[in-house]
Amino acid sequence: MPRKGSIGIKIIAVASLFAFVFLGAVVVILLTQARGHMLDASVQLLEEDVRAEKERIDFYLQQIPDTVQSLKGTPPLQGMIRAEDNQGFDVEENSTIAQWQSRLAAIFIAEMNATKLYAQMRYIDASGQEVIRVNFINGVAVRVEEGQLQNKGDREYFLEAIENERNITYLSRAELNREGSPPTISTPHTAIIRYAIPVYEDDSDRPPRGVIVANVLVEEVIASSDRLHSEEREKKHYIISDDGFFVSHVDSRKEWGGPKDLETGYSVQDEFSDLTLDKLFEDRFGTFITSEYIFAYAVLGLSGSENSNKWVVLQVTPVHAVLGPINSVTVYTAFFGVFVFIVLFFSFVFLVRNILKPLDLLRDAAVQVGEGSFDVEVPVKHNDEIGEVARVFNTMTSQLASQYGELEEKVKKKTKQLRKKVEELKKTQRAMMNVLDDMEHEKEQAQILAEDLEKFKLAVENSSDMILITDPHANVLYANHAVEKITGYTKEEILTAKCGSLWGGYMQKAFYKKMWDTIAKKKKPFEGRVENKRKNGQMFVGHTNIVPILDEQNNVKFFVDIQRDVTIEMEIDRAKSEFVSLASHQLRTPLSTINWYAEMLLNGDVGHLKAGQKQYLEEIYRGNQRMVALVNALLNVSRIELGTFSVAPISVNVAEIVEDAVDEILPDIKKKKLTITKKIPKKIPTIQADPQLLLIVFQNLISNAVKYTPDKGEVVVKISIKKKEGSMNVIVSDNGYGIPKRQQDKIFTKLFRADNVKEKDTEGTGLGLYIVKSIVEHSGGSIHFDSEEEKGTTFYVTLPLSGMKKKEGARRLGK
Amino acid sequence: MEKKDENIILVIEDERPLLLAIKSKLEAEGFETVTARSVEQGINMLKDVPSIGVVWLDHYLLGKKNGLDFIAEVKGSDDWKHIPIFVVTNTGSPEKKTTYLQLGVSEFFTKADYPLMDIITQIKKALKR
Repeated sequence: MPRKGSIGIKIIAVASLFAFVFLGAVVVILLTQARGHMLDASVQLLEEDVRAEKERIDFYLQQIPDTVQSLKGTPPLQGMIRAEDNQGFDVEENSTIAQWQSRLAAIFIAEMNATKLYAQMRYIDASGQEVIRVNFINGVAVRVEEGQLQNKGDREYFLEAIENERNITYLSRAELNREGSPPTISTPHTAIIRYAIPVYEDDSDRPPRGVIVANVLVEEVIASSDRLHSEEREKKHYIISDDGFFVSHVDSRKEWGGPKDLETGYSVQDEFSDLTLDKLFEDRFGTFITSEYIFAYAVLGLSGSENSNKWVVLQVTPVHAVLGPINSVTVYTAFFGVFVFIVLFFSFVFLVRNILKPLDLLRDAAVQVGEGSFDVEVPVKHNDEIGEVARVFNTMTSQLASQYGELEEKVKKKTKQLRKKVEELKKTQRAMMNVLDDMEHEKEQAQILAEDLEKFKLAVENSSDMILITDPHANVLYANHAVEKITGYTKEEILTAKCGSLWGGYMQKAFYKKMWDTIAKKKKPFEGRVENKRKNGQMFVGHTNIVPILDEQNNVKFFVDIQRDVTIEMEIDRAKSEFVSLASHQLRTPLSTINWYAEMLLNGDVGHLKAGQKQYLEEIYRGNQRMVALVNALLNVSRIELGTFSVAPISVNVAEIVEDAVDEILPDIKKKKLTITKKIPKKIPTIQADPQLLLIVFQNLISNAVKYTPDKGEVVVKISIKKKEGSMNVIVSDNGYGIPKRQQDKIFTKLFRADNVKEKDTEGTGLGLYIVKSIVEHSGGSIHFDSEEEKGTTFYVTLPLSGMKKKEGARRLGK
Repeated sequence: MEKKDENIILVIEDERPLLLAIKSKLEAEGFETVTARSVEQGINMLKDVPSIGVVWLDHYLLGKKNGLDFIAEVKGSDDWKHIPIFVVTNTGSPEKKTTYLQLGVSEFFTKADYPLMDIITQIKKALKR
């Protein structure tokens, strides 16, 4: 494609625009023409159609007066008149008036049954009295009995017809068959037109003798033509009366203004609001086109007296039905237009490229020359204007090339000289840079050191512990911020006094003497707790740590005293101990009450219990025992966590403690029929250990082994002395449920119980092994185990033969 | 100085339900009991009933004084210092136990850990010695 903004693009754009406008115009004109023709053609068709329809109905309507006219000359009628005039007997034909009446009725009946077009046929005499009436009921013509005949002397059709000339038929407006006063509509609702003709004596000038009235069924007349159309699609064929109602409608409920009743008022305007009735009746024949519909109409040629109906046959076709095909033609045409446009567009592109290609080559060559390469030659392909330009360009290029060559030689020489000088300069610069780099490095190092020192100073200054530096005579050289904060004295006061003279001096003299001996004479660090007094008179306890800083000759240069305010810490410790002690009392008192009363009840102290009561009470008692055990365990845990339980070693025989622990659990061993094996050497050295703590350890390990071994299993307790390692090993093993592999790392965790034993025994607290491990490790020993699920578990407790280390603590662990 | 009767036991215990249980169990076991709920009441009982031969003592009691104060007073009196005292308490820290034993009580029991009957049996055993 040509470049954006190039001549090529401009040409293509203009040509495309032109093609687009031209094609669009052609398409629009074509479509408009097609639409007009199509509309004309369908209007013509519709008009033909409606004209045929009109003629068909007219034919039927015209037949009826002829039929009725023919009836007046029928022999029975004339015979009947003759009989009337001759006291009820016709001498000419030798018949009574009743016989003639029957014959006339028979003719009526025959006509009605044959055509099915009539609702009623009557003969009314000159006084208006009905003489014969035949009704068409359920498809059969039936003569009405004499008793039901009425006088119709006041009816319009009678009055009009009796006045008429011979051969003139009275034609009533089409109406629903109303009778009586007030008029009621007879059912089924039928629309009728009354045809009435006067009956004269043959060849006589006497006034008329009576009237023949035929009620014609409008629906039948229309239907007989309408049925022919029923198979055509989309055509709606209506008959409209001049008073604006449908006489015939595709939906018969809409005829006669509604449900066969003009008074409900469903009019033509309700269905086709833009149809002008007056125009239809004036024009009598034609088409009327609105945006929605094409109406073709023809007024029917009903003949009769003035007030007869005018009817229009109306054919309605929706415009979209006629112009539907045009839409698809539009789409095809549009597609074709787009296709032609695309073909044209690419043809333009192709042509423009070919024409402008030499111009592009010329441009590229000019660019190259501009960049300094003169060995370019543009091919001269055509002899047109572009070819001429190319030739001139080539000449110009070759001249430029020769001039440029000389200039270049000169420049090369100068450049060579310059390059040498630059090289020399660069060397000098490099040497300078090295010197500068070294200086920069030195500066950075110094800065880092200064920053380190600053950090260190800040750390010391902002430490939460008091930090004091003194000379060998305890004169304060430095005190950090915490000293001011904790003692309440200002730095000025502190720096002019001896260390501790402001806040110290509340301990016994021996304490200070020992301290001074340690740091100044022995030149060793001193650690201890000191009671001090703040400037505001409040006492506080400091945990002090004094370190003498010695010079190379081992003389004290400074003392550094780091002291922490432990007043609050100590208060918290005291509060915790207090809580443990109180909790132990408060929790155990109600448990004791339950325990003892249950015991007394079980013992029968207040009367004998029934077996069931005893059983329930035993459950309560056992549950309470569990609660006591749990509270005891929790108390031990809280002491362990305070880290303050004491270890008080005395000389003990470990074997005896193990035996005690086994004895305690013997009832359970017997109950489960377990085998217990004790492998204890006869001579066993006594070690320094806290018997109470050891008992807790062995109780827990042995009772676990018993609890988690199924009936008839085996528990082994073994003690062995490893003199080389200086340790005593106590091993407790069983062949019980074991600990699942994936949970072995959690077994010493507080409140943890392995899944397999949780299912079997609900009573464990999950605290035992936690306590055991805490005790063993707190007193210098170690513990580990081997276990395999369903095979058993072995715990190894290692105690140093040197014994447990004594530890002072606020609390002791107990049962 | 009146003769002490080891069948007459003074029970000092602040918890009413526990006191009632102890009293009825002791009486069922053949002791005569007098009771007190504070150190002051206990001392008054010792004064009023000189024949009291045994004391059952709890640590925490009504009022400000506790079992240790009671022992201090009893051991300070020539008349009372030989009366055997059994401490039965739930304040069962091992330190306290040691203190009581050092002050010369006969036995130390943790309430929650022993059936009532066991304590009484042990008291009886101790009295026989």
